[in-house]
Amino acid sequence: MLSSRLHDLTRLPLAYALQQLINGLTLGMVYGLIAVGYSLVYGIVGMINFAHGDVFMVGSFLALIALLAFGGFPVPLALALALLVTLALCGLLGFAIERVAYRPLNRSHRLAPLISAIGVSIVLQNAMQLLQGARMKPIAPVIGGGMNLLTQGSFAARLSYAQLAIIGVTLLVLAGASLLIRRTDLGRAMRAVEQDRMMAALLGIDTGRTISLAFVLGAALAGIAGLMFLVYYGVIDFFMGFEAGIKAFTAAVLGGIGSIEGAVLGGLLIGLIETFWSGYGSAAYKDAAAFSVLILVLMFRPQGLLGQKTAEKV
Amino acid sequence: MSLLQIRDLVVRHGAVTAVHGVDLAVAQGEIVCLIGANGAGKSSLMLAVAGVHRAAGGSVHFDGRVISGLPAHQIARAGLCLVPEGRHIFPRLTVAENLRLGARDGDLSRLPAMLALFPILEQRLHSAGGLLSGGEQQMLAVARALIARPRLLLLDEPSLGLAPKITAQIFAVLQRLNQDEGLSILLVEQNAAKALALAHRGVVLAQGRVRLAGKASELLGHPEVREAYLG
Ligand SMILES: Nc1ncnc2c1ncn2[C@@H]1O[C@H](COP(=O)(O)OP(=O)(O)O)[C@@H](O)[C@H]1O
Ligand SMILES: [Mg+2]
Repeated sequence: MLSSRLHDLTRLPLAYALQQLINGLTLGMVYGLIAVGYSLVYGIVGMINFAHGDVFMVGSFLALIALLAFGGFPVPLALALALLVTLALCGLLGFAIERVAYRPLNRSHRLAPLISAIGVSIVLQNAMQLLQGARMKPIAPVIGGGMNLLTQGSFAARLSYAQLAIIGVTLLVLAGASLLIRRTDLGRAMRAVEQDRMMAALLGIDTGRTISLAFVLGAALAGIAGLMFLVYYGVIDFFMGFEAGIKAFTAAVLGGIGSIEGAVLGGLLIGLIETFWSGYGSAAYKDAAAFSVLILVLMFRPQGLLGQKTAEKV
Repeated sequence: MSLLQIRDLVVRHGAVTAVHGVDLAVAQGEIVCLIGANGAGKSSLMLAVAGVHRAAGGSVHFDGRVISGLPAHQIARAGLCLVPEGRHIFPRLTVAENLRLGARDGDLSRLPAMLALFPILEQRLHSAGGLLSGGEQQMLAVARALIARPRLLLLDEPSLGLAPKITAQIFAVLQRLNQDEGLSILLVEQNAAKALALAHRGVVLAQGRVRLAGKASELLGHPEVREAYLG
């Protein structure tokens, strides 16, 4: 499909590039939302939460179920309700993951929570496979239509309303999360626990609760990303959390793990690289392109684009 | 009964026993100073009282209730606040944010008073904590602890690495709060002369045990103290 269009490209460079930009930004927003969860949890407890990609997958399925359940409602209302359901239930899942995979292993070897998170990941995938089947689940387009931004010859760069909604909602959600982390007592407590857990406790902060809420927040954002993915692509399956998880984790490392803004920036970059690479070259090597950029960046900035150089965590 | 009552406290770090059955009390409105050589177990005792280390034996009562075994944040909320050795300023939070974390539940009513006690902090409100000098960090650590109006302030070596002038300024603030507001203080110091001059009573710790205890003025004149800690 792509190669048949290739001969046109030289004649329509601008509209085509604009289309890649729109697609890349949309995908990047989804990656960014997931990446924030990796960054939050890593920042506060130094654990790579390998179950996080699967929270995203579960979020997609929850969104699917909710959208079908609210099918009789007007689309915006159904979407808003699905968003709330997904966000709440994924938050609860994040809470459970902290209790099961992190808290009991708090004081053991550094790698122990990582292994237990891989365990949770496998459980979530298998559970979803049993509950929903192994085949891809399609959904009829939820948000139809769009607008032509730029037409050149037979090619029109198009911003679909689904893309518009995804970009708009993600920006709102990220702004909210950023405000929460920067301006609220909870956000300050999270940053304090991240920087000096003992001192945070000495100032009366319940560090266990704060850590738990970081897992909840990260998981809720991944749930929203799951809904976005469903609305955008219209098909989901129980294994999708793996690839998306790796991409988002790459985004978090690229942006500087521990940094929320970095996670978003990393997500956007990975989304754009992937989309432009497929759009102008071969889809086969899009992942290699994303990882090459990661390696290049880490060679010159080991802490990632916006990460701080910090001493080893205790 | 005393505000703080430590009985037969034992603190272990794995196989090392840092505190071997120490008794110590701080009365309401009293300044007690704890002196002792490096490794005597002073910090271990303070961290155990504040709930960071779990005591291996003995009990700690604060304000009439048992606090040994409670998590650190609950002890802090009960009104016992420790400024640990090394100050522990959050390096990537601003001075203002560090202070807000000390003020519990958003109650900033004590902020103006703290800034009046340490005016330098007012000029640095928007600097990252990690960029402050040692003296500024210590002032911030003390202000951050006091902003929540603790009943008892525990200070672990506040003068460490500071110029004498800065130490004197901090000690003057402590004395004033003690006299004006009846703030009770348990102070760990290597600088025994200055600490005993400030305190009402002193306790000398050696190898995890109480070696001497008495009025500060008596300890200042005690030959063993003069020899070992005032040299
Ligand atoms: N976290 C720890 N792990 C192991 N040993 C420790 C730890 N903290 C202190 N110690 C040991 O406990 C003893 C008392 O130390 P500490 O309480 O720091 O004394 P001080 O504050 O009087 O210098 C020392 O022998 C020290 O090496
Ligand atoms: Mg010490």
